[in-house]
Amino acid sequence: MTAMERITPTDAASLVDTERGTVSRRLYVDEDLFELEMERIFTRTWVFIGLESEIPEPGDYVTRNMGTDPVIMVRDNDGKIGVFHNSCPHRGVMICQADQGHVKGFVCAYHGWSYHLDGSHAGAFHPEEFYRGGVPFDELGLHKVAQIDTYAGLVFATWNKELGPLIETITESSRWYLDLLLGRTPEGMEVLGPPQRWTAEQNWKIGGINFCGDGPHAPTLHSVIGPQIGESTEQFMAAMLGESPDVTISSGQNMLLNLLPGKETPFIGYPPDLVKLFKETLNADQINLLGRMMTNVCTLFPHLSLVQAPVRFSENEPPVNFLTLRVWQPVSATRTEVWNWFLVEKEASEEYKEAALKAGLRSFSAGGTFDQDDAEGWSATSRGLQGPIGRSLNLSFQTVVGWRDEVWEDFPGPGKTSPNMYTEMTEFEYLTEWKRWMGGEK
Amino acid sequence: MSVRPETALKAGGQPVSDAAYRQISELLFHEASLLSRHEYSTWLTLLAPDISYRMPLQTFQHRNQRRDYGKDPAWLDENYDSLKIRAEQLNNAASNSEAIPSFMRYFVTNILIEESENGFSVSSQVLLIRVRSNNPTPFFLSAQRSDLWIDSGNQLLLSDRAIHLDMPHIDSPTLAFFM
Repeated sequence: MTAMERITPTDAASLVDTERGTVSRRLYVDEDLFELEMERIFTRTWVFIGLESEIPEPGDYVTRNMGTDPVIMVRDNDGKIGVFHNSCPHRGVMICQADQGHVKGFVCAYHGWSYHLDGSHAGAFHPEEFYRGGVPFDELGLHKVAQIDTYAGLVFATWNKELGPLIETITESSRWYLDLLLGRTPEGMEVLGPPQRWTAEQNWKIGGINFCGDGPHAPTLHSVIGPQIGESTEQFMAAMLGESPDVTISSGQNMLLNLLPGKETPFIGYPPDLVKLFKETLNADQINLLGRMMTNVCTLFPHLSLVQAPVRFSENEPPVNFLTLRVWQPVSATRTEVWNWFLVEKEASEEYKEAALKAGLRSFSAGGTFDQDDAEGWSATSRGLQGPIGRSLNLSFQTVVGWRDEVWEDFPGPGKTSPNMYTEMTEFEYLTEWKRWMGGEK
Repeated sequence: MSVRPETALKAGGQPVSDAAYRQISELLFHEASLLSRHEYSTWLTLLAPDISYRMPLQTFQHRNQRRDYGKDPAWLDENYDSLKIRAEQLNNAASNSEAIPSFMRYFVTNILIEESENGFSVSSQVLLIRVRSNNPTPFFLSAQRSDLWIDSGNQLLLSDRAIHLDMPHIDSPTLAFFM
């Protein structure tokens, strides 16, 4: 009996109580649910694969995962990006076992079957007569995803032929906000190197939910490091206590903004030449918001998160903004591999690029001072839910009950904006999106 | 970067005196002892004010398909001020990462030393065993370190350290320690 048969859509939907704001703790530890998530979510949604700037030349490839299925992202000789299941159609051996590389075509190491960069079958090692005409080589190219699309240099793919184009998921409303991070200069962002990869002892959704807008954990879990590396303790606290909305930017896509009070100098941590480019690229409302943005964290369902903030690790240096992009790569119900990239404006000076990378490494990364605090909290969640009693209980997102009708009406941006970062609304919206995909609504 | 140095030192370099070899070896053992006991305030006194402390990031690559991208990708890229902030965070009970201190043991071996202009180039191999409260299974991390220790007049100070890990994908949720 498969997980699909053991857990019906109705069963799955019952685990998230949207009225009461409670969620079954099974979502963090149950292996059957995990198996079902791989099928119902990761084979059906748009899944982030990587960045166009990771494979600039034809023949460049990187290896990634869609859920638990390994894939190759490659640029072909026409400059087009392809995403293929990373296993030979002959006997299933992984075609690319390295993290990244450059090839003229793909050759399976086992029996020598080969493939063009566009995934089509190129040849077999042995002469044709050896196969006696029985092997339909034309049909045995690398297994392709159903659709590929990009936004702001980010490559997404899906196995789902029926799914609408990416603009229906990362909508115009989403892009209004995401452009503040990814599309704020004419040339956009570039990746600063291959992703860091490390293993966390937690369910893949925990980090994603946190990055939707877990405002309340910042002044507690990060009470030591937070004020120390911000512009100042006063500004950190002002941003924490000030106008810091939770925003549902589209279905399943959520963001928390820490905004500086209006009297503070805008654009903390950006060099003037970049600010000039922001003003040429974004509209007046976006510029006003970006200027006041102290921290921006967001998660695009199912497992892509971004975080941007100005930080400084020396009193003698000005704060610098970093931008981290990461996926919470599912491994099992209680193990996740975090893949972490750093991005910076293509137009930025070499000095600023280096400073932005260091700022990111020191805050949100495997060695990040913020991640260290989060990681132990999340590992402790897995430990706390090991037993049958733990699984039978609920997680509380009941703060939403008191906030769900409160909307920041005149907030200068699209989406649904809750008035502060303590509402838990965006985190719970992520779980409601999980319910839509797992419960059969999507 | 992805090409790992076999050793920081050239074969056939001028050997240092027995006394210097012993002094620097014991300095590395002393440092390992401080790190295993979380004595980070004292560890900071071993660092030069202009220290560069880097942990480069490596990737698995096929011999015939090698391609690097990004400028000097890293796990860590620190200076004195950022190391001091990290040390203070790790020592602060209000900070979650090491509120329950991990048990750590450092094994330092294969020490090669060469005299340089104002100090010593030192290559060593390190095995770290770490046990965190949230996971009783020991975590192993091995690395080669390439150091520059400079003579400040009254003591040797660590001025440059590159830590080449043997683990392109780290099987641990944090790097809340020094190597």
